[in-house]
Amino acid sequence: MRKIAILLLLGMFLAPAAWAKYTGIVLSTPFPDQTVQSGRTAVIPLTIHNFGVDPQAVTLKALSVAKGWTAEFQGDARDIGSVFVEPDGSRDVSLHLTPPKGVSAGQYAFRLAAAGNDHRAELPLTLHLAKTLPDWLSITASLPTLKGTATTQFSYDAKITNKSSRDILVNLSATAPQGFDVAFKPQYGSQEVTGIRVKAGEDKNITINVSPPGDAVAGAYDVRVQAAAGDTRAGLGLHMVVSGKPSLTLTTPSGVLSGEAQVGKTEEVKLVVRNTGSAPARNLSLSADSPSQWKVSFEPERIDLLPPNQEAKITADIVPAARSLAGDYMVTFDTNGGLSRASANYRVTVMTSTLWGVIGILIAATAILVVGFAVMRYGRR
Amino acid sequence: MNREGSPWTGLGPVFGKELSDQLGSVRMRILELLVLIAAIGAVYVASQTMRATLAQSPIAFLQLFTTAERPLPSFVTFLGFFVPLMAVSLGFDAVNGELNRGTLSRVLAQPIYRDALLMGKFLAALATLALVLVGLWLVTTGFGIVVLGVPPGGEEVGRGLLFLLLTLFYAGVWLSLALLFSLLFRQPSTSAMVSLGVWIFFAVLWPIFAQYLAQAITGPAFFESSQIRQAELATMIARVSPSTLYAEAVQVILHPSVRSLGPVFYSQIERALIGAPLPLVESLSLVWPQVVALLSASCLLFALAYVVFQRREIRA
Repeated sequence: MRKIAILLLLGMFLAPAAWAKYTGIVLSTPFPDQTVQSGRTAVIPLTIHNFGVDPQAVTLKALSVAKGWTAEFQGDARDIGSVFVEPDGSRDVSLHLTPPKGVSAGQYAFRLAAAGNDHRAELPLTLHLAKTLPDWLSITASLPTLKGTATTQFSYDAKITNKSSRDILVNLSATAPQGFDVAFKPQYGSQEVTGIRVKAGEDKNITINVSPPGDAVAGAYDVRVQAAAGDTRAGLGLHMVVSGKPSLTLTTPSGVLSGEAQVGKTEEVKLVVRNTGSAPARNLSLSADSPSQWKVSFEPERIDLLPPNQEAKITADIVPAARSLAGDYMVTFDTNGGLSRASANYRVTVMTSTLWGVIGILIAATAILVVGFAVMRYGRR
Repeated sequence: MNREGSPWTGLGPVFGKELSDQLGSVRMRILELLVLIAAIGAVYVASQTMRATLAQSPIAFLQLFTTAERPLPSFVTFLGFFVPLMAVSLGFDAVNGELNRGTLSRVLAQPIYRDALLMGKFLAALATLALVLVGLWLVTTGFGIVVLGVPPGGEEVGRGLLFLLLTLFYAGVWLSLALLFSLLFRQPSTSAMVSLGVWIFFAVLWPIFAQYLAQAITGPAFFESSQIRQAELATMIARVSPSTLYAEAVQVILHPSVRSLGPVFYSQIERALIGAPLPLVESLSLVWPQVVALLSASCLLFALAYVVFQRREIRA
């Protein structure tokens, strides 16, 4: 028993020593057997170690390649055939394995070799082609469908999850209908960002603000948000319903908001109701706030439907009360369509009748005629 | 009997002679000086007040005439006081003075008709007044340009000219009255006293009487409607006085924001823009009755004086 124990102890001490004393060339990859996305070039990281042998160039070769595939070694973004490794040094290269078109899912085996002057290392590699890889990058929104008006800022809370074992920089981009503005912000920040760093195994909350153009027509819109980290992408579909809102303005065709009116006589005022909003205005009623004994009527009295960016012409008939004073009065025209209303202050200069002026002239003329008559009647020589 | 010949014959010489007499008389010069000093004083004080208190106003020149600063009354008040005085002093001895001096028969011995004599005297006195008023207006306006630093606008000039014309009509009433009294009374002092008495009666006492007269006619007013009726009646009675008519007319012409004279119902000023200036035409139409009344009164008084003069025996 004691002998065995000693041997074991010896083994425990000796084994690392034996590994440490390994000499030669080693070709390695972290995951010799892995699943990759179908239809894409698989990039396999390789490391060539030199354990205690002379500095030398090591030739890299793909000994056997699955049918139709092409294999390329790349180091520092250039195609390479060999690497130079110093004693106890290592060199990282990558192997690009491009599958043929129409490759089917399944298992493909490769065999790689690294050959130095005296030493040689081989590495078997197995790729499993999968239609879809389990996602390690995802972006989700808690409330992906929002409703609002054309002037609302649609604010979505989204979560980016990084399930991989690396810290990644996620680039954010969006495709939105024309005129829509999309901005990404960290959850508790005010700066707009185009990318965000997510630590391994963690998630990050971001806010996506979408502002529709102010004249956006009512309807449903889709915004597609892409999060990309390296060659991995995740998408998020955001849905927004712009409900639209009528917005009315009331003015005259010329924009002049003043006019004259004769006491007791009808004065026509042309008015224009415009809908500058994004939704049709319905059941517009017209009213006027005028001095209480004035009569104001509208033709037409009501507008059933006024689509966006359309205008309707209205004629208002103002009749100042018979006892109105000459001078300026304020009449407020008002159009009310429930959701939206507009009003215009119209200044009416009341002119009094000229009848009394004529009568006054007649009286003055009579007085002068009296003088003339006196001269004719009582004139003496 | 029907008249023969033109009533205008001899009007020119009478007018010219009378005018030169009036303008050269010591009486007129003293009055003119008095009016000028009073008016310049009033306008100067008004301009100082306006410079101190008012921002640039579109009716600055009209305010120059109407702004009063204690203890001086405004320019308009001064004119309302001096114009009847001047008119009376120009007319009270027009005929009886000549009669007493015995010059009337001499003048009428010339180929000058009585029509022309009376008309010439009246027109010459009116022309004298017009000269004084226009001069006064030009002096004050020029003064205003210097002090305020802006030229008057078209509307202001129009209102100023209307004000002048109105003042001339007002002067015409008192002139005709003085002329009438100079015919009715032999002594110039009597006619002067009577003219001034009538003026003081209408200018000072009549507005007070109008109140009591209206109350006496309508009886005690307990209800709002009868109070309004009483107030309207008092206004109407007060308007018998030329002074009231002139004061009302001037108030409207020189204050473009005045829209009504007399009581106003709430329904009439509801939603009215208080303080918005009235167009000149509307201001004029508001005081048109006053203007016509003043003009007609002077015409009728003149006609009366004319008839009295024509029927008078003057050769005795």
